[in-house]
Amino acid sequence: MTDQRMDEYRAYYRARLRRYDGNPLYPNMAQAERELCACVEASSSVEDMQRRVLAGGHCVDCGRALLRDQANARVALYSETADAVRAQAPAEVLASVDSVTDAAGLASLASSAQARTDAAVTADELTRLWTQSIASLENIEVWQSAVVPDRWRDQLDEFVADTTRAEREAWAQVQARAAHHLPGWRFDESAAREQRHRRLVPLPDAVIGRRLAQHRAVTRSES
Amino acid sequence: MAIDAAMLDAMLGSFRDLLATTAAQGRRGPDVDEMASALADMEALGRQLSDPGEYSTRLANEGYYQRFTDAYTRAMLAAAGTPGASGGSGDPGGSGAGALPDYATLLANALGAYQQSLDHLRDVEGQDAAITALERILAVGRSGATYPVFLTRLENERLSDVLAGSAAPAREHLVTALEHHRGVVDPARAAESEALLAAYDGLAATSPTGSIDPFAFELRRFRIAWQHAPAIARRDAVVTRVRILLDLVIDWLDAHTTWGPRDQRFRGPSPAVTARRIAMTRECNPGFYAVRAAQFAEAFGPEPWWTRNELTEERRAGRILWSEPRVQLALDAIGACVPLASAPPRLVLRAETFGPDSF
Repeated sequence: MTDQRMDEYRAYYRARLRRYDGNPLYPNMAQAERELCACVEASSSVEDMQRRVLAGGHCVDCGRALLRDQANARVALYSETADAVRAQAPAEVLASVDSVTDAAGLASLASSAQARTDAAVTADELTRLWTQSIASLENIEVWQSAVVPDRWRDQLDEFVADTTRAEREAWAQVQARAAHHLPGWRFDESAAREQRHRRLVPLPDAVIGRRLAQHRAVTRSES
Repeated sequence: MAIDAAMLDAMLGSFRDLLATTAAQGRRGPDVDEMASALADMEALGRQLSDPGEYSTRLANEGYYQRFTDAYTRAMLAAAGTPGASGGSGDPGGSGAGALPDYATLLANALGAYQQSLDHLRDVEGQDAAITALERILAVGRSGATYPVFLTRLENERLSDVLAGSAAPAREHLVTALEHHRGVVDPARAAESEALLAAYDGLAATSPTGSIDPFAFELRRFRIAWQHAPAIARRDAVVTRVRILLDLVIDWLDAHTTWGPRDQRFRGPSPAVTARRIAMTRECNPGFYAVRAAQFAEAFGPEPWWTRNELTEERRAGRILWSEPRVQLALDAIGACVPLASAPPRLVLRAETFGPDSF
């Protein structure tokens, strides 16, 4: 009976190993499963297996290995996409995973790192809200610089003033909502120019610089 | 003011169910107390706030979810007597305390959890793959297999992959998205959908059962979205501006027609207002057009807006408001639409044929 149970467990751990063995996404997990499998193979009974697996810490090792592989993959991905904000969570995991000693700790490490990073990502995404003003900023540029008969100039100036006021109010609401969720949030122009945001605004650098200057002027103007 | 009760039920229902189930199983202790405390705090916050968005954000960012799930994890591990368990399968090789439970107990616990998941998923749309996998898992579990044999068959048949894969969209959803983007002539989004479907198929092709590794898919989906986002943003930006340029020229021509005062674009509360709108359009639109054409060229390069693929695609998709003869007239008028110019009579004559409030 005991031999049959052991054979069944050996078959199970071999099956687990096959899942990860040779998969380039999971090198650490493959190694951890290999060691767990070897431990089970060497066990003489289920009770012996239980003692060996526990003494070897193999199951926590597997948990650590999975977290490490996933974090390494995410670090590589966010390095490729130059996303320093999203890279915080896997970096946190990699920095602490070796010091965690139980499964609950591993689950907590992953979820807490992700929660902190999610908050940072939300704050970072708010940076791109300024681009909602670009259409109005283009309108303002049109009204201010178009060659038109002089008799329309007052009307166009009125359009500019109305749009400026509306944009300023809209931006104040954006800031209020952002501060409500993330106290202390401030729009950071330098962050807006970073590649992860910049690449999503399909305008040349010179135009973005001009629009940011307009945005700054419009949202800070008093009249 | 509180969060709407139905909304609160939707957001907290699963937590209430987990706590009720845990209590019904006779589990007690500080971890279960912590689960109850975290849920009570979530309920209290729901009574304080009225904006579901703010509520959701605060639940996530202020650690409510994490408090609950951490306590739940500890309670489950304690119940299983597996402080060092690797999770997921509940395999006994990870047991850390006491005697190994007998096969029947282990199997019954696992099957009970899977049955509970199945009962829950039957009420959720779009979970066919997960439901099929759970039914298969339960069938295997009830086939008379021992616990390790049950686990081995789950592993060999990759049934847990299918379950985990259910978090990713089913292939038919990816195909539907691709067909939609092709059907509405949106090449930028269609390209993203194509890449996503290819990634999905690539992962499925390397899987013995055809199911995908959800983590691998998550990585590919992120990368593909990242790769295609600039092209999508660029296309959207071009399309928005091309429409404005086209409208400026058409409005300018129409403001010269005899039917202009009867058209809703110009018609005002008094003849004077109507006349002013028409005069402004006639006199200002060429100046506006010149600035916008310059903005367009500065942003998207020297190729004229009217020869862009995006305009062709939008016309083909029927997303240009104006009829083809109207668009053609506008394209013929571009050269004449220069600051301070009036529309040439030969073009106005063609515009006269359309009439007010027509497209």
